[in-house]
Amino acid sequence: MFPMWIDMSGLYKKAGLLLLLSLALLLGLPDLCTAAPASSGVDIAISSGFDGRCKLGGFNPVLVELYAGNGGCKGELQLKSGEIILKSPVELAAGAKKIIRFSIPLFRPDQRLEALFSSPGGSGSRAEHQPQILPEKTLFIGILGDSPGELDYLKDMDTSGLGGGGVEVVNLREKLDYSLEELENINFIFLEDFNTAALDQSGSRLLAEWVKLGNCLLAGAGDHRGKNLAGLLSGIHSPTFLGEGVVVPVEGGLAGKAPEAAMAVLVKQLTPHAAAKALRGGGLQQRAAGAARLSGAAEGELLPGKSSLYFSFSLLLLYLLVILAAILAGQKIKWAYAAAVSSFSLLFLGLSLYSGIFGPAAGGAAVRLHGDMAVTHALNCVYSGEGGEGSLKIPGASFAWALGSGWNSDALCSGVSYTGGEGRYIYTCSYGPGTTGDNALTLDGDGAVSGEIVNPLASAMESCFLLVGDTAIPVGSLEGRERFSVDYRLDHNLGGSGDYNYLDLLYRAAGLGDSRRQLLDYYFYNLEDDRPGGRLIGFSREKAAAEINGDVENMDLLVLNVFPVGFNSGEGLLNLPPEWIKPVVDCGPAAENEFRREYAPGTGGELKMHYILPAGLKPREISLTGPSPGEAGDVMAYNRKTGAWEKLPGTTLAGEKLLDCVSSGPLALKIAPGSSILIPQLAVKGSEER
Amino acid sequence: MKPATLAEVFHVKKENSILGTVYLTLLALLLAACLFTVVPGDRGYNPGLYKNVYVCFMVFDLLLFSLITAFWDAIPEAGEKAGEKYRPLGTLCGIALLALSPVPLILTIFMAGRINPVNFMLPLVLKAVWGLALVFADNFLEALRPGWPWRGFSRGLFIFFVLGPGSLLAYFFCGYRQAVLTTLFDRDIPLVFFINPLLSLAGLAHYQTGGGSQAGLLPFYFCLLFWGLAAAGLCAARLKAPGGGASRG
Repeated sequence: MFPMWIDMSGLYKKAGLLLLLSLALLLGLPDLCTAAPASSGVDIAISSGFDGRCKLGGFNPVLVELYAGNGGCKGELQLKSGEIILKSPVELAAGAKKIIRFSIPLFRPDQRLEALFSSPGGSGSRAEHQPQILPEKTLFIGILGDSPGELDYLKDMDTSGLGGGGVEVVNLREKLDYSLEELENINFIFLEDFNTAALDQSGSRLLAEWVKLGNCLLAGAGDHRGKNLAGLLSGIHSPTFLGEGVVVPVEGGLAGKAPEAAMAVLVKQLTPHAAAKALRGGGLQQRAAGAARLSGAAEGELLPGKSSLYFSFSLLLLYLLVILAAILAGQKIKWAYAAAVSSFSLLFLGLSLYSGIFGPAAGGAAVRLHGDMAVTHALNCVYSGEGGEGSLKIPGASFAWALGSGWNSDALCSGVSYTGGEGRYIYTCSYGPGTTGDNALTLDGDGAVSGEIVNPLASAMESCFLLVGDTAIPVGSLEGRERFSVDYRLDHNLGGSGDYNYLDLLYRAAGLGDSRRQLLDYYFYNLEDDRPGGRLIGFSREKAAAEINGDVENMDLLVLNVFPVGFNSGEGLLNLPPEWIKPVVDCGPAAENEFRREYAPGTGGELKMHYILPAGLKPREISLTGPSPGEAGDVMAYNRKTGAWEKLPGTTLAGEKLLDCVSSGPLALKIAPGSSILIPQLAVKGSEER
Repeated sequence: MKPATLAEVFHVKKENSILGTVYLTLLALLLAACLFTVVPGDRGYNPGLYKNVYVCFMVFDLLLFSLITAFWDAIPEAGEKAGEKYRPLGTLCGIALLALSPVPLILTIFMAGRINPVNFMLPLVLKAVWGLALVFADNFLEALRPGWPWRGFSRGLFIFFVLGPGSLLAYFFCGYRQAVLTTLFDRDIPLVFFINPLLSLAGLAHYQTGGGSQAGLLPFYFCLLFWGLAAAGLCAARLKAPGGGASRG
């Protein structure tokens, strides 16, 4: 056609060109139509928190709603909060709407959220959102029920006995589609007029796990008893312990009660975990950032094992021997030397491929608190060559956090991608089923301890020791499931020591090396293990699966295991040594200081301590150890009967007065120290309630 | 004249294989001392330490290799027999095997340190080419002046002067020029100094393990080319030499 046109007149040329142009436009128009909305972006709407309210220092749910308009879109959605960036891939059909769940930690009260959608074509859209962030000590009361209005009275509760923060009553989504970390922001859950049996499997598992961690669930046992106490709560008639936590059926139901009555139930059923959360906050940042303590121990797992070095060198020796043999054979087999060199080079190449040196090197150190649930706090160390990018995801981890900058996470903050840095440290927290071994010791009236203890693990533990109050009993190594008997007179070898001395005494008792001390340091300073009772502590090694740069690999993990040890008294008098019951300390604004056993008054603060006696203990006499009377001011005890603070006459509390103080809640003590003091500890004499 | 069989090409003389074993044993002892004394302890993981072990090992390897090459019985067996053509292929194979024999030791360093391996073949190739040049030079001398008693001594002297005073010369030159050196492959060091394989190889190993380089890999390739051409030229000269090409004696 074209050669013909060359000879045609200008008019034909122009007409032909016009025709071609309009044809091209017609063909191209549908393309342009679909491309246009995509480049104009998508509509983004953000909603955050529980009922619109977020808690500082915890994970908060964020829902980002995307609307693609009349053209589809494909790209990546980012949610930014300060330095934290969560990413989620997005693919939307034309006209589709999608809600993407994010779980984001908030560490600043004025933190803004920014959602950013970007497609590979370069177009994008963004939206901002200012969440309502409430202080860490705010009591979040979660409501599960069809008529939440009847529980509105809860917001008038007086929280002076529980840290004095405000109260927020939030309605939880009835499907309970939260993560456990998010639900941990809720201090108490009230369940009334709720179809518990209708909870799906993941919802009931989440609720059970939340209770097992040490939280308190109140369920109405009035008109809606059959509806509330069904499903996982069926068969509960009286306050029932589930793991560290408790499920309390409230006779007469929860609707329309007096706020004081509800508070009285909460205080009476207070668990150490719930008390710590109300008085100190969740401590999420402290756990994550404090994991830097474990860096040396995690790196230690990357050091060449003695056995692998011996293996390599014995192979090298063999290499030399084979070459010697090749020399002797050289006259007959002319190529023996060449064969020996090349075959061993290939053998070592295969060995190095097998040992994975071409991939990243990874190792970790972890502290695992066993109970009904095992909570593992791990610091994983990944070396993936210079510069480059990398990612780490621990299967089953609910929370991953990289130390340093230059990283981002997936939507639920459970896996980390990073750029830069030869080696990276990543903190992960995972929850799993625990093993306790049901260990118990007999603590008789004259300070002797006896009983049989079993290593609950199937694997061996090293450097084990028993912590019975303020006495450390070295145990040594234990094979998997090995039993040993204890018959020991408590010598209080850790008593009366401050933080530093206490750890030093523990190290010496257990004979720990440097890297293992770091694990114990982390446990002591950064993890709030306020559960009453003794502890069996030991180190084990395991191979943990880790998804590094997309490939699943085995990683060496050094684990500090902490098992609870209970008591049984038999018939006689029970004698709980000091520190068996751990104080939950509320020290006001100085809470960020890192202290456990001693307290330095910052701004003239008053120190309040809550001692939660184990269920089933009938105390007769409580004696106080710790600060000498000179350095501490008056010790005041809270009389729960009269509702007033009363001065303690001496260092013991017994009889009628003791019952007044502990009858309807934990023993609360108050002290206004002038100088740095040891936090008072309790020794309890009593008997077991049968 | 029959062509050499494969077995003959790969055959390493007994004297030479004993030298090779001594060489490997010394290297293995050094490595064992390094990994069992420097590394253990509770001081944490440091991949840089193993990278330094690699650099030091490669440098020591080159020095020891040069020493061993000085004693290497360079006259190919095939050439010793009267009336047979000189065959450089056997020499090439022998030296290449000697140069490659520490590969298992080098891999052990990477495995012990759990560091990603670098291309350790590059330094080994340089080492082999340098060794070949030495041996071909020796063969050429032998063809020029058969039975000259100072032949072995002159080879040793040559190695010593290239590696020892050659490096010293570079050091003094940098002092004289008041050059500020940031790395081994520094632009302030004239390229001619990198003829010294010790400098080139140390610079290469340093560069491979994350050290800097201002000139890229140019000094290394320059050195490789220089000794490669020298080896090829000497080999050709040996083949053309009077009494070398066909037969001697």
